[in-house]
Amino acid sequence: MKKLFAAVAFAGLLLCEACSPTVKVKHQVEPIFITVEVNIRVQKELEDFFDFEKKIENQNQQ
Amino acid sequence: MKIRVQFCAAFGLLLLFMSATLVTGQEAKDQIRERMKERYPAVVQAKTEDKIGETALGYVEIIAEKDAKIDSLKKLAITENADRKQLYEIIAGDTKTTAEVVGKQNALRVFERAEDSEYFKGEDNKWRRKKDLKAEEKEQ
Repeated sequence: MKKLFAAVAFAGLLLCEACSPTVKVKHQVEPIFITVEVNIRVQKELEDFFDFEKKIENQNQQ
Repeated sequence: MKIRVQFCAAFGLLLLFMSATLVTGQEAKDQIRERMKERYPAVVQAKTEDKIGETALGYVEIIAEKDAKIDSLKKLAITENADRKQLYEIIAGDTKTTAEVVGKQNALRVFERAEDSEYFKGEDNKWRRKKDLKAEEKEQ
């Protein structure tokens, strides 16, 4: 009898666990942050490299 | 004692190699900058005359098929793109990304700085002026 009660209780527990809603939240902030950081670094490198464009344009305007 | 000397020698060589690589990268960048600086007025003129435009991948291209036969224009586009490719690879190495990402970022930078009349090639391979692209973007 005890065994049957234990089995029913265990089955009930499994059923509760199976039916309980679970929400999985994926942590996606990090890759976006890394991409933005890389793009900012790339933009900075490009701005530094192409600063001669602004200088030439300023010279032409004067 | 012998092991320590060997270790120091190996470490010294490694440092020497690393600094040589850094200098080489910077030197290459400086050389590219000088070449692009010299070429810049010609590139601007070709853009003003609607001969060349910018692609979404950060390279220049001749717009009209008839102009693709003009040697000076062809040479201008080829040399400009060769330098850009090399530059994108160097910056990609420095920032731990790919040359493609750097090229696309440069395309965005160029678009921001461009005159409204300049031509840009979209991902659909069609040429449009900047003002038209902006108008399309507003409509959407």
